[in-house]
Amino acid sequence: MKSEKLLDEIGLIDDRLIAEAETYEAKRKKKKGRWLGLAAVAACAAIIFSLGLIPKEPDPSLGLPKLTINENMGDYGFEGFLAYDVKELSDGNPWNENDRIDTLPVFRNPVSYDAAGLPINGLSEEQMMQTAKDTAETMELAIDSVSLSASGDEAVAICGDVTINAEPDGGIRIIFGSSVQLPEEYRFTFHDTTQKEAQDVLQYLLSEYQAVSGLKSPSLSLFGDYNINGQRTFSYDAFESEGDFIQRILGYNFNRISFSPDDEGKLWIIDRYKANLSQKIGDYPIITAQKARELLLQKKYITSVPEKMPGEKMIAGVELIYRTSHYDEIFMPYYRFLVELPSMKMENGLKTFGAFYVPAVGEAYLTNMPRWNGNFN
Amino acid sequence: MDDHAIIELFYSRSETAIHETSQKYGNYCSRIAMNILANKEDSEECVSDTYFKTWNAIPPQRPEVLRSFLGRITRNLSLNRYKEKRRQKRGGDEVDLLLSELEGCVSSDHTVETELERGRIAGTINKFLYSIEIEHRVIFIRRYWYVDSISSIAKRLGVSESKVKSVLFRTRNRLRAYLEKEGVWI
Repeated sequence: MKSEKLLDEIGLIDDRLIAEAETYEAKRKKKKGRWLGLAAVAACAAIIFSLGLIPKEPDPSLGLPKLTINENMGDYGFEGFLAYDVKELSDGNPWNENDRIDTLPVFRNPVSYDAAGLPINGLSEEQMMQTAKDTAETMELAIDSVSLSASGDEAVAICGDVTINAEPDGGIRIIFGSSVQLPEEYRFTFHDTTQKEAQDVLQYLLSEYQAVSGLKSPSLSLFGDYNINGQRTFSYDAFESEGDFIQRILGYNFNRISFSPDDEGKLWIIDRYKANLSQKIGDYPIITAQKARELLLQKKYITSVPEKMPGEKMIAGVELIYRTSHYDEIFMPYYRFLVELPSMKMENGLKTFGAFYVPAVGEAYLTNMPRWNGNFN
Repeated sequence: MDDHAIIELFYSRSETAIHETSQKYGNYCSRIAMNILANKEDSEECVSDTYFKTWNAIPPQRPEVLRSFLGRITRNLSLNRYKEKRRQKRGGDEVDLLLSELEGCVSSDHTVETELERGRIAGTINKFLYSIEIEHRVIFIRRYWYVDSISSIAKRLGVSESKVKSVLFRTRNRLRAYLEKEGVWI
């Protein structure tokens, strides 16, 4: 079998490459710290930006400080998704193009990273340990031990064969050493699960782990793109949808739970993410999706797609999201346009949709409106 | 104990070498074996066999990077055991998935048999890997050398699973194009 031969040949690559891939995690953490310090001169960024037009003056009566766009897309290459139709990539985002929003809150990310790449300003060691303990108690698990990881950037509670990791940003990961068998009627796999089956099993999991999720009014957030073999791959998420429209948007972006199966269709991992939104900067005026589309066409966007935006006709969809990566010092909203990339259409009919981000906050409130200048890394 | 001292123990035929290797690299080897075999018993046997093979290999060999040397032996032993299990129809897991992913990198319609000597293809893959971005290289090697799952890579590097999948997808396509450009047909 040819692919077996390729796998064997990959087994013969240089020792240095093998060692690098094992030790890279620690290096990356250092790099992340450096990135934060040097964001303005990020020479290795996937896309290089130049400043846009001089911003119009903001409305002083609002008393809002100008925001700086995070130009770092994470340095992990290309954000693209495979699907036959862009509608298949919908994941329950409560916002849609017909919604009109005048303002949205912007927050400072309370967690940042020091020069060594270790988190600061997030939960203290004691708080992380307490979070891990509380989670174990919520799940009625007997705790064998609670300790800090070797790198000190997360707390680990061992409860029999269940491991609970509590992270500085409030994230919790629960790993079942012996994956949990679900009742027979549910099908829970990464591949070959229908939308209906995925919805059913997610409803079941939300009900079963309600105490862990803490979500009062969970909404499903099933995301299913395809792999190159044409198999649809689901991620099983839900978010808090209690409250008014703005609160639902915040719930979708900042208050989520995710369930992952193992290869046998059993429950393997639960991830809980609830961002600390205590450091609100203010409510910022938001441009319309139509205005954002115009900015996209004026190349005022951020992207990790390694080719130029292929034109207005290829714009397939838009959604409003907050970027919430560790690289984002400010949690602020963006319009994310999914644009079909004709050069990457596959023989089996699958299309590739690349993500292009336009800040949703008005240009007058930004210090650095991005403008794509045609350079790749 | 540092790697140099462990290798000296092997050279002096001290059985402490096995103990020290196990202490330092036992978990590393176990993880590789478990990724491939997903079976504790089989994995433990492969790791034990790794020590045995290493005992027989050093001397005369003197590995430059002991970690990679051990990992490579574990990987080979585990893949061989995996193939044996699959012949007995007991397989069907991460490796199957990984092999189907790699189908995209090999030529499906090229009929000229240019069987290259073992190792030359690896040399070309080396060159390719050194030519790409470090993060992409790490993701590729974690997946296809260490046989890590997508979710495990995402967790390790602090990125989304869709990001990992995107990088793998593009890197496989780039590898295929590179191999074709270099006249390597697998």
